[in-house]
Amino acid sequence: MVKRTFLKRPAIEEDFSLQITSMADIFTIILIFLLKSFATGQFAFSPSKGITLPVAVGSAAQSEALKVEVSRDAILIEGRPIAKGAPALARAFQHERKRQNLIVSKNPSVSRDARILIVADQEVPYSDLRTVLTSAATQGYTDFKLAVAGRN
Amino acid sequence: MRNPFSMGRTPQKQEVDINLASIIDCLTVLITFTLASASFLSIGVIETGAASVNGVAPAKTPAHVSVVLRNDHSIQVNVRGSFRQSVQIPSGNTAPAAWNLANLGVTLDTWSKAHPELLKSSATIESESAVPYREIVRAIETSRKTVAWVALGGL
Repeated sequence: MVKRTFLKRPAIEEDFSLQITSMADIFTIILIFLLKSFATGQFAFSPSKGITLPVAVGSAAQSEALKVEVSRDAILIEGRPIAKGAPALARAFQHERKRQNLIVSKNPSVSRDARILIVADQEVPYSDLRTVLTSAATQGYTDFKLAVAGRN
Repeated sequence: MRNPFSMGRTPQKQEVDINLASIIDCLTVLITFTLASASFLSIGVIETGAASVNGVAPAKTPAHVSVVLRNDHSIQVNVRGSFRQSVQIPSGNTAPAAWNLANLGVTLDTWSKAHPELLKSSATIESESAVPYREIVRAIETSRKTVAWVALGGL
């Protein structure tokens, strides 16, 4: 049972001072940690929505390459949607090759690049992927880099 | 010792308080922005190439391993070159049926112990139409543990 009293209680001191100095220290450490682990490389990419990368052990992506995304519904070359089918893919890769050839002709320090980055969904059947790879290889893109999700 | 240039004035003690509240505001915004824009998925790449384009043969190596993933979940492995081997690996005893890539790794490892030149060889991964990309990547990853270079075939 609660004991009732009519005596005046002494007022509780409500002077809570927040330790802002320690909070600033914590925030600084968190910020430094996040910035350290932040991907700041020249070649940072993330797969589009709807693409689940296969899990495998791969090396770090270090160089720029023509990015081709293959999902179950669509194919994108450098972010541009391409109709499924060999003729449309061949035209798209030919366009990219012509663009690169033009850059090479204007700037001798740039070399013709055979690298292509394949960002494909793990459930895509090989028949779809083969069409893309064959079209790319026909235009000289024979250095395939398969994007995978790391195991760790 | 008294400062001769102080001209009789007493030194003034200055207490400077840094306003930490505004710093914390800045840090909170920066952390939120960094967390929102950070990518927590570690993406890597598997380097491979086209084994044969328009009939151009792959580079010469001591031996060449051909791995074919079939729609019926079996794997056909052939070695040509300094030695010849051929084996068909049936699907594993799993439900649903899956390609027994662990057995592929064991097979290649066994062959490489008997024929060390296999470690300097190349491999071609081919696949039938319905095989998902995930299994091809796994086959490349398994083969790379033994052979020096893996390429995609059947293009």
